[in-house]
Amino acid sequence: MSLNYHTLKQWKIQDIERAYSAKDTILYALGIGVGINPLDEAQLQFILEDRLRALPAMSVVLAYPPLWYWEKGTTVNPVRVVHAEQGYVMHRPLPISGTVVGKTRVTAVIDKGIEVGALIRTENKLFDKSDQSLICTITSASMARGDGGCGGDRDDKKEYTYPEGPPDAQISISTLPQAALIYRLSGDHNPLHADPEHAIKAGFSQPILHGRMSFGLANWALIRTFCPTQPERLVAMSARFARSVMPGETLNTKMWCRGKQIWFHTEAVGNNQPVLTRGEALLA
Amino acid sequence: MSLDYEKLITWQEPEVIQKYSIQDTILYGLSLGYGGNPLDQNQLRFVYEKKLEVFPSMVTVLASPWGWLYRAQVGINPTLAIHGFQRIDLYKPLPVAGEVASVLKVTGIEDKGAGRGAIVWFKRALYETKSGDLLASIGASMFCRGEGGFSTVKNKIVERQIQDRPSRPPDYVKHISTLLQTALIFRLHGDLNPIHADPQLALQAGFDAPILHGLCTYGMATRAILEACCDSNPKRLKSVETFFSAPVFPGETIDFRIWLNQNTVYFEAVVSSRDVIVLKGGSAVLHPLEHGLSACH
Repeated sequence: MSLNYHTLKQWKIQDIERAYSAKDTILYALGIGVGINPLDEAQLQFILEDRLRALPAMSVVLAYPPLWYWEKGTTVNPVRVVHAEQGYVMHRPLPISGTVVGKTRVTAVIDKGIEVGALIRTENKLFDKSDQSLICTITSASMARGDGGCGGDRDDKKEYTYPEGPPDAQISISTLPQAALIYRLSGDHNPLHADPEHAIKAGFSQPILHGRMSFGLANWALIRTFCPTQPERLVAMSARFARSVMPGETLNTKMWCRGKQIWFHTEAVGNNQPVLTRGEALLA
Repeated sequence: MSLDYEKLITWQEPEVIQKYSIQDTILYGLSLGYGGNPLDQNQLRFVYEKKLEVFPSMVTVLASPWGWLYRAQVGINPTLAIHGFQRIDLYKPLPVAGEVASVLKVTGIEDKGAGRGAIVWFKRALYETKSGDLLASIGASMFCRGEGGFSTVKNKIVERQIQDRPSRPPDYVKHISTLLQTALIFRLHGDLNPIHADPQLALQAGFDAPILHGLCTYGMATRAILEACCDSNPKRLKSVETFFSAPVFPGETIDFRIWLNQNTVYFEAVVSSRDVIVLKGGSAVLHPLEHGLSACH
């Protein structure tokens, strides 16, 4: 059965409620590699409860519907779906603990052609349960590689170019061999990131890092560069996933800044293969 | 302020009940460095939910009344108190998730004399709340460097003394590297003492940087023994004890020197980069090798 545009576009995705503690907030930061310099105050603010702040990118892992397209009837061929894009816009800083509700809907299904697939865009609004206030709007896109040629919404591809000239800053951050094993405690238990046999069956030489983990790592790289003492100023960020990362790789993020607008690009050190492309962010 | 012997020896610490999850069990394994080779099944068994096992020294961080000695307000200066001794006796493997309880009892207070400190010995039994089964008993001491000379009659209670290890070169040497962020991970088990995390506070306590938790070094010693002598099979472990002689700093590599005499293990631990012995007088007892248990190698 092939992808049915109308079925998918109107698919009712279940709301997700998630209570999280300061410990979860700390574990998220440790999972993306914060704490590698345990004497650096700019890192300890994400690790120690007496001064704790939440990294804004944690919003994207708190209450997203994991693998909803595996549900019966979505008409998506789930086996061939890969995470393609991730973004967030903060409406207020993420509390360091609390209960959030994520409400997700499909916003677009874009036919990229039979060779490429169908790009499924979702929007997840993250609410604070205690006062119903909107914390964050999260955008995500998944490429259903088996479902191209389905018809659908008009391609929304935008022009994207970095500012001219060399980057204004760049930072290399290494990941640990056990990075995926730590990161998955933040809630994404997909065995692709832990089970060597499963990874081989999925066509990888070993378990790969979570895409959202590289997104979080880039989030931290941008904060370190542009707003180290005010992480909440990084109010928006988005990027496209270009390829998977192996635990232990070092990721280099190149950044350009004009006023409050940031462009970035993350690649693996050694082979210079892009990991995150079309990166954009906004400072408040 | 001097140590209040009467108050401390009769101290009644309330029972601590703790629910723990598979995530907690995995986090414990990760905090000992398991997963550093993410393709090694003998590491994944302690950090991945498929075929997950509880790493045995996790009993030291479950249902623990962290900070009780300072809350008790018996005249102990917390910045001068350090972990002196640790022992576990294991009776039954822990389920990967569950609920456990324990009550801490003070078993002895040793006066080393004025200027030489006092040693507080304590013990707790760890039970599974559902079945009532005894899982482990956990003994420890804190060396309170500021509180010697509290007794008029010199108090000579000594719970345990450092044993000699064999004089021959070690049978095995296991190197385990800690991460720079190991203490930051380890503290999520519940010991939030800032000496392990806050650089300024560590300086005030006389250390250049936050120090690793003694219980983390202890867990790594347990890991080294299991890897050297038991093919990583946690069921073979009956008891482990050691004295702490110096702190480890996060990021350092610890060399565990291990001697095996039949089912008795002797060990000590050294940070070679500083040439400091960090664990002394360590010993462990193994269950005899039975059919179905893998051999030592």
